[in-house]
Amino acid sequence: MDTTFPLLGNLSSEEQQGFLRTLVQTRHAESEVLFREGDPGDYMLLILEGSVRLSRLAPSAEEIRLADIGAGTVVGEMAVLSPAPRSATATCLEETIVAWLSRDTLLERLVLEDTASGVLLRVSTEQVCDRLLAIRARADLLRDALEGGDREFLTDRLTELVGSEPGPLPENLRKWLEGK
Amino acid sequence: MSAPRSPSRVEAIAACPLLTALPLRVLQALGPRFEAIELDVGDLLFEKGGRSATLYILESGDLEIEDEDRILGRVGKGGFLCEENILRPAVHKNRARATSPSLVLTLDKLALDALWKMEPAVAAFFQLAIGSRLITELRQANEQLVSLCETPLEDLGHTGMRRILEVVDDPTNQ
Repeated sequence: MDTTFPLLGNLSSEEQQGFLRTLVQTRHAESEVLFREGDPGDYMLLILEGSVRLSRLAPSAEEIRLADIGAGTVVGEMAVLSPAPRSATATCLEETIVAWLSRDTLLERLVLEDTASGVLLRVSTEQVCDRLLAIRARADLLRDALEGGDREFLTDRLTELVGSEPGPLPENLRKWLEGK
Repeated sequence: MSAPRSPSRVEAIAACPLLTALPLRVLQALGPRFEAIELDVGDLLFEKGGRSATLYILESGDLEIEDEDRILGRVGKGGFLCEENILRPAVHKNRARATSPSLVLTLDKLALDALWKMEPAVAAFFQLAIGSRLITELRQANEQLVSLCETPLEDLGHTGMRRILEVVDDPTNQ
Protein backbone atom coordinates (compact mmCIF):
# COMPACT_ATOMS: atom_id res chain seq x y z
CA MET A 1 0.00 0.00 0.00
CA ASP A 2 1.29 3.47 -0.86
CA THR A 3 1.95 5.56 2.21
CA THR A 4 0.75 9.16 2.15
CA PHE A 5 2.09 12.01 4.29
CA PRO A 6 0.10 14.82 5.94
CA LEU A 7 3.27 16.89 5.51
CA LEU A 8 2.66 16.79 1.77
CA GLY A 9 -0.63 18.57 2.29
CA ASN A 10 -3.37 18.08 -0.25
CA LEU A 11 -1.19 16.57 -2.95
CA SER A 12 -2.85 13.51 -4.45
CA SER A 13 -1.57 10.06 -3.62
CA GLU A 14 -0.09 9.83 -7.13
CA GLU A 15 1.69 13.17 -6.74
CA GLN A 16 3.04 12.11 -3.34
CA GLN A 17 4.31 8.80 -4.70
CA GLY A 18 5.91 10.60 -7.63
CA PHE A 19 7.76 12.87 -5.20
CA LEU A 20 8.80 10.02 -2.90
CA ARG A 21 10.17 7.99 -5.82
CA THR A 22 12.67 10.78 -6.51
CA LEU A 23 14.17 10.44 -3.01
CA VAL A 24 16.79 7.95 -1.86
CA GLN A 25 15.07 5.14 0.08
CA THR A 26 16.78 2.78 2.56
CA ARG A 27 15.69 -0.30 4.51
CA HIS A 28 16.65 -0.72 8.19
CA ALA A 29 16.49 -3.61 10.63
CA GLU A 30 14.73 -3.63 14.02
CA SER A 31 16.81 -1.80 16.67
CA GLU A 32 18.90 -0.01 14.07
CA VAL A 33 19.60 3.60 15.02
CA LEU A 34 18.78 6.12 12.26
CA PHE A 35 20.47 8.99 14.10
CA ARG A 36 21.54 9.78 17.63
CA GLU A 37 20.87 12.72 19.91
CA GLY A 38 23.65 15.26 19.28
CA ASP A 39 24.41 14.09 15.72
CA PRO A 40 24.56 16.90 13.16
CA GLY A 41 21.20 17.17 11.43
CA ASP A 42 20.36 18.61 8.03
CA TYR A 43 17.97 16.04 6.61
CA MET A 44 14.55 14.60 7.31
CA LEU A 45 13.36 11.02 7.05
CA LEU A 46 9.93 10.14 5.72
CA ILE A 47 8.79 6.78 7.14
CA LEU A 48 7.40 4.69 4.30
CA GLU A 49 7.02 1.42 6.21
CA GLY A 50 7.64 0.30 9.79
CA SER A 51 7.95 2.38 12.95
CA VAL A 52 10.52 4.45 14.82
CA ARG A 53 11.01 5.36 18.48
CA LEU A 54 12.22 8.86 19.39
CA SER A 55 13.98 9.10 22.72
CA ARG A 56 16.41 11.28 24.59
CA LEU A 57 18.68 10.85 27.58
CA ALA A 58 17.93 12.58 30.85
CA PRO A 59 20.90 13.94 32.86
CA SER A 60 20.54 10.81 34.97
CA ALA A 61 21.28 8.80 31.76
CA GLU A 62 17.76 7.43 31.93
CA GLU A 63 16.18 7.06 28.48
CA ILE A 64 13.07 9.18 28.07
CA ARG A 65 10.71 7.90 25.41
CA LEU A 66 9.28 10.82 23.49
CA ALA A 67 7.16 9.13 20.84
CA ASP A 68 6.69 6.05 18.70
CA ILE A 69 5.83 6.99 15.14
CA GLY A 70 4.91 5.01 12.07
CA ALA A 71 4.44 5.11 8.32
CA GLY A 72 3.23 8.44 6.98
CA THR A 73 5.09 10.48 9.57
CA VAL A 74 8.35 12.37 9.29
CA VAL A 75 11.42 12.56 11.52
CA GLY A 76 13.75 15.55 11.66
CA GLU A 77 11.84 18.05 9.54
CA MET A 78 13.05 20.94 11.69
CA ALA A 79 16.66 20.06 10.81
CA VAL A 80 15.92 20.64 7.14
CA LEU A 81 14.46 24.06 7.81
CA SER A 82 17.17 25.01 10.31
CA PRO A 83 20.12 22.60 10.68
CA ALA A 84 21.10 21.79 14.26
CA PRO A 85 22.29 18.82 16.33
CA ARG A 86 19.60 16.18 16.76
CA SER A 87 17.56 16.64 19.91
CA ALA A 88 16.58 12.97 20.05
CA THR A 89 17.67 9.49 19.01
CA ALA A 90 15.62 7.67 16.36
CA THR A 91 15.58 3.86 16.59
CA CYS A 92 13.69 1.44 14.37
CA LEU A 93 11.12 -0.60 16.31
CA GLU A 94 10.78 -3.08 13.42
CA GLU A 95 12.02 -3.41 9.87
CA THR A 96 11.57 0.09 8.50
CA ILE A 97 11.89 1.81 5.13
CA VAL A 98 12.60 5.53 5.02
CA ALA A 99 13.02 8.15 2.30
CA TRP A 100 15.73 10.79 2.77
CA LEU A 101 15.35 14.49 2.04
CA SER A 102 18.36 16.71 2.75
CA ARG A 103 18.28 20.48 3.11
CA ASP A 104 20.42 20.86 -0.02
CA THR A 105 18.04 18.72 -2.05
CA LEU A 106 15.04 20.67 -0.78
CA LEU A 107 16.67 24.00 -1.62
CA GLU A 108 17.58 22.82 -5.12
CA ARG A 109 14.01 21.76 -5.73
CA LEU A 110 12.55 24.98 -4.35
CA VAL A 111 14.70 26.95 -6.79
CA LEU A 112 13.26 24.80 -9.58
CA GLU A 113 9.75 25.59 -8.25
CA ASP A 114 8.98 21.94 -7.56
CA THR A 115 5.38 21.87 -6.30
CA ALA A 116 5.74 19.01 -3.83
CA SER A 117 8.79 20.60 -2.19
CA GLY A 118 6.92 23.87 -1.87
CA VAL A 119 3.95 22.14 -0.24
CA LEU A 120 6.23 20.29 2.16
CA LEU A 121 7.93 23.56 3.13
CA ARG A 122 4.64 25.38 3.66
CA VAL A 123 3.06 22.64 5.74
CA SER A 124 6.16 22.02 7.84
CA THR A 125 6.66 25.72 8.66
CA GLU A 126 2.98 26.03 9.56
CA GLN A 127 3.31 23.00 11.84
CA VAL A 128 6.33 24.56 13.53
CA CYS A 129 4.30 27.73 13.99
CA ASP A 130 1.44 25.73 15.53
CA ARG A 131 3.83 24.02 17.94
CA LEU A 132 5.30 27.34 18.98
CA LEU A 133 1.86 28.84 19.52
CA ALA A 134 0.82 25.77 21.52
CA ILE A 135 3.84 25.98 23.76
CA ARG A 136 3.21 29.69 24.33
CA ALA A 137 -0.43 29.02 25.09
CA ARG A 138 0.67 26.50 27.67
CA ALA A 139 3.09 29.03 29.13
CA ASP A 140 0.27 31.57 29.36
CA LEU A 141 -1.94 29.12 31.21
CA LEU A 142 0.86 28.19 33.57
CA ARG A 143 1.56 31.84 34.28
CA ASP A 144 -2.08 32.59 34.94
CA ALA A 145 -2.34 29.63 37.25
CA LEU A 146 0.86 30.56 39.07
CA GLU A 147 -0.30 34.11 39.58
CA GLY A 148 -3.59 32.82 40.88
CA GLY A 149 -1.77 30.36 43.15
CA ASP A 150 -4.40 27.77 42.34
CA ARG A 151 -2.77 24.34 42.15
CA GLU A 152 -6.00 22.55 41.37
CA PHE A 153 -6.74 24.85 38.45
CA LEU A 154 -3.20 24.48 37.15
CA THR A 155 -3.36 20.70 37.39
CA ASP A 156 -6.60 20.72 35.43
CA ARG A 157 -5.11 22.90 32.71
CA LEU A 158 -2.04 20.69 32.45
CA THR A 159 -4.20 17.64 32.11
CA GLU A 160 -5.93 19.27 29.16
CA LEU A 161 -2.61 20.14 27.61
CA VAL A 162 -0.97 16.74 27.81
CA GLY A 163 0.24 15.85 24.36
CA SER A 164 0.38 19.35 22.97
CA GLU A 165 4.16 18.97 22.78
CA PRO A 166 6.11 15.71 23.06
CA GLY A 167 8.11 15.38 26.22
CA PRO A 168 7.93 14.72 29.88
CA LEU A 169 6.72 18.16 30.95
CA PRO A 170 3.16 17.54 31.98
CA GLU A 171 3.91 14.55 34.19
CA ASN A 172 6.82 16.21 35.94
CA LEU A 173 4.94 19.41 36.40
CA ARG A 174 1.98 17.54 37.78
CA LYS A 175 4.26 15.90 40.32
CA TRP A 176 5.59 19.27 41.25
CA LEU A 177 2.15 20.72 41.54
CA GLU A 178 1.04 17.84 43.67
CA GLY A 179 4.03 18.46 45.94
CA LYS A 180 5.69 15.13 45.24
CA MET B 1 4.39 40.24 -14.16
CA SER B 2 6.63 41.03 -11.19
CA ALA B 3 6.09 44.24 -9.24
CA PRO B 4 8.62 47.05 -9.91
CA ARG B 5 11.83 46.85 -7.87
CA SER B 6 12.34 49.38 -5.07
CA PRO B 7 16.02 49.74 -4.09
CA SER B 8 15.35 51.54 -0.80
CA ARG B 9 12.80 48.98 0.32
CA VAL B 10 15.16 46.17 -0.59
CA GLU B 11 17.87 47.76 1.55
CA ALA B 12 15.41 48.12 4.41
CA ILE B 13 14.33 44.49 4.44
CA ALA B 14 17.91 43.32 3.89
CA ALA B 15 18.83 45.12 7.12
CA CYS B 16 16.26 43.08 9.04
CA PRO B 17 17.87 40.10 10.85
CA LEU B 18 14.89 37.96 9.87
CA LEU B 19 15.63 38.33 6.15
CA THR B 20 19.25 39.41 5.93
CA ALA B 21 20.51 35.96 4.93
CA LEU B 22 18.26 35.80 1.89
CA PRO B 23 19.87 36.00 -1.56
CA LEU B 24 19.79 39.46 -3.16
CA ARG B 25 17.56 38.17 -5.95
CA VAL B 26 14.96 37.09 -3.42
CA LEU B 27 15.20 40.38 -1.52
CA GLN B 28 14.75 42.31 -4.76
CA ALA B 29 11.59 40.36 -5.53
CA LEU B 30 10.27 40.66 -1.98
CA GLY B 31 10.92 44.37 -1.38
CA PRO B 32 8.12 45.75 -3.57
CA ARG B 33 5.62 43.37 -1.96
CA PHE B 34 5.85 45.22 1.36
CA GLU B 35 3.47 48.07 2.17
CA ALA B 36 4.60 51.02 4.30
CA ILE B 37 2.89 52.59 7.32
CA GLU B 38 4.03 55.94 8.73
CA LEU B 39 3.54 56.51 12.45
CA ASP B 40 3.93 59.67 14.54
CA VAL B 41 4.96 59.62 18.17
CA GLY B 42 2.20 57.98 20.17
CA ASP B 43 0.46 56.34 17.21
CA LEU B 44 -0.54 52.70 17.64
CA LEU B 45 0.72 50.16 15.12
CA PHE B 46 -1.74 47.65 16.49
CA GLU B 47 -4.09 47.39 19.43
CA LYS B 48 -4.51 44.55 21.90
CA GLY B 49 -7.25 42.21 20.73
CA GLY B 50 -6.92 43.11 17.05
CA ARG B 51 -6.64 40.21 14.65
CA SER B 52 -3.56 40.18 12.44
CA ALA B 53 -2.04 38.20 9.60
CA THR B 54 0.81 40.65 9.13
CA LEU B 55 4.57 40.68 9.56
CA TYR B 56 5.97 44.09 10.60
CA ILE B 57 9.52 45.28 9.91
CA LEU B 58 10.66 48.61 11.33
CA GLU B 59 12.48 50.53 8.58
CA SER B 60 13.06 53.50 10.88
CA GLY B 61 11.94 54.77 14.28
CA ASP B 62 11.13 53.03 17.54
CA LEU B 63 8.22 51.07 18.94
CA GLU B 64 7.26 49.96 22.42
CA ILE B 65 5.26 46.85 23.15
CA GLU B 66 2.88 47.64 25.96
CA ASP B 67 0.62 45.73 28.27
CA GLU B 68 -2.13 47.51 30.18
CA ASP B 69 0.25 49.42 32.40
CA ARG B 70 3.81 48.42 31.59
CA ILE B 71 6.34 48.29 28.78
CA LEU B 72 7.15 44.74 27.77
CA GLY B 73 9.75 45.38 25.11
CA ARG B 74 11.18 47.79 22.56
CA VAL B 75 11.83 47.40 18.86
CA GLY B 76 14.18 49.65 16.87
CA LYS B 77 15.31 50.07 13.27
CA GLY B 78 15.56 46.72 11.52
CA GLY B 79 13.50 45.01 14.20
CA PHE B 80 10.48 42.89 13.38
CA LEU B 81 7.22 41.83 14.97
CA CYS B 82 4.58 39.13 14.56
CA GLU B 83 6.48 36.90 12.14
CA GLU B 84 4.30 33.94 13.06
CA ASN B 85 1.09 35.79 12.20
CA ILE B 86 1.87 35.74 8.49
CA LEU B 87 1.62 31.95 8.68
CA ARG B 88 -1.09 31.67 11.32
CA PRO B 89 -3.23 34.78 11.82
CA ALA B 90 -3.76 35.54 15.50
CA VAL B 91 -5.10 38.08 17.95
CA HIS B 92 -2.60 40.59 19.34
CA LYS B 93 -1.98 39.99 23.04
CA ASN B 94 -0.58 43.49 23.56
CA ARG B 95 -0.29 46.77 21.70
CA ALA B 96 2.59 48.42 19.84
CA ARG B 97 3.08 52.19 19.97
CA ALA B 98 5.57 54.45 18.19
CA THR B 99 7.90 56.36 20.50
CA SER B 100 9.51 58.28 17.63
CA PRO B 101 8.39 58.99 14.05
CA SER B 102 8.47 55.53 12.47
CA LEU B 103 8.18 53.84 9.11
CA VAL B 104 6.90 50.27 9.33
CA LEU B 105 6.96 47.83 6.42
CA THR B 106 4.21 45.23 6.36
CA LEU B 107 3.56 42.01 4.50
CA ASP B 108 0.39 40.03 5.13
CA LYS B 109 -0.71 36.47 4.53
CA LEU B 110 -2.70 37.35 1.40
CA ALA B 111 0.41 38.88 -0.15
CA LEU B 112 2.40 35.79 0.77
CA ASP B 113 -0.24 33.51 -0.72
CA ALA B 114 -0.16 35.56 -3.93
CA LEU B 115 3.62 35.34 -3.97
CA TRP B 116 3.41 31.54 -3.75
CA LYS B 117 1.33 31.61 -6.94
CA MET B 118 3.38 34.16 -8.88
CA GLU B 119 6.94 33.58 -7.70
CA PRO B 120 7.03 30.27 -5.79
CA ALA B 121 10.80 30.15 -5.41
CA VAL B 122 10.83 33.62 -3.84
CA ALA B 123 7.94 32.71 -1.55
CA ALA B 124 9.70 29.49 -0.58
CA PHE B 125 12.91 31.20 0.48
CA PHE B 126 10.97 33.84 2.39
CA GLN B 127 8.91 31.18 4.18
CA LEU B 128 12.08 29.24 4.89
CA ALA B 129 13.49 32.33 6.62
CA ILE B 130 10.32 32.68 8.72
CA GLY B 131 10.35 28.96 9.51
CA SER B 132 13.99 29.07 10.53
CA ARG B 133 13.27 31.91 12.94
CA LEU B 134 10.25 30.10 14.41
CA ILE B 135 12.31 26.96 14.89
CA THR B 136 14.93 28.93 16.79
CA GLU B 137 12.19 30.26 19.04
CA LEU B 138 10.65 26.81 19.42
CA ARG B 139 13.99 25.27 20.35
CA GLN B 140 14.61 27.98 22.95
CA ALA B 141 11.15 27.47 24.38
CA ASN B 142 11.63 23.71 24.46
CA GLU B 143 15.02 24.04 26.14
CA GLN B 144 13.53 26.23 28.82
CA LEU B 145 10.68 23.84 29.42
CA VAL B 146 12.98 20.82 29.43
CA SER B 147 15.24 22.55 31.94
CA LEU B 148 12.13 23.12 34.00
CA CYS B 149 11.42 19.41 33.86
CA GLU B 150 14.96 18.46 34.74
CA THR B 151 15.23 20.79 37.70
CA PRO B 152 14.89 18.79 40.92
CA LEU B 153 11.29 19.33 41.78
CA GLU B 154 12.02 20.30 45.37
CA ASP B 155 14.30 23.12 44.09
CA LEU B 156 11.72 24.55 41.78
CA GLY B 157 9.94 27.61 43.10
CA HIS B 158 7.43 29.94 41.58
CA THR B 159 10.10 32.57 40.90
CA GLY B 160 12.24 30.20 38.86
CA MET B 161 9.25 28.94 36.96
CA ARG B 162 8.11 32.46 36.13
CA ARG B 163 11.58 33.30 34.83
CA ILE B 164 11.47 30.34 32.47
CA LEU B 165 8.00 31.22 31.26
CA GLU B 166 9.14 34.77 30.50
CA VAL B 167 11.76 33.36 28.14
CA VAL B 168 9.22 31.07 26.51
CA ASP B 169 6.84 33.95 25.91
CA ASP B 170 8.91 36.55 24.03
CA PRO B 171 7.04 39.87 24.35
CA THR B 172 7.93 40.88 20.79
CA ASN B 173 5.84 37.98 19.50
CA GLN B 174 2.47 39.58 19.69
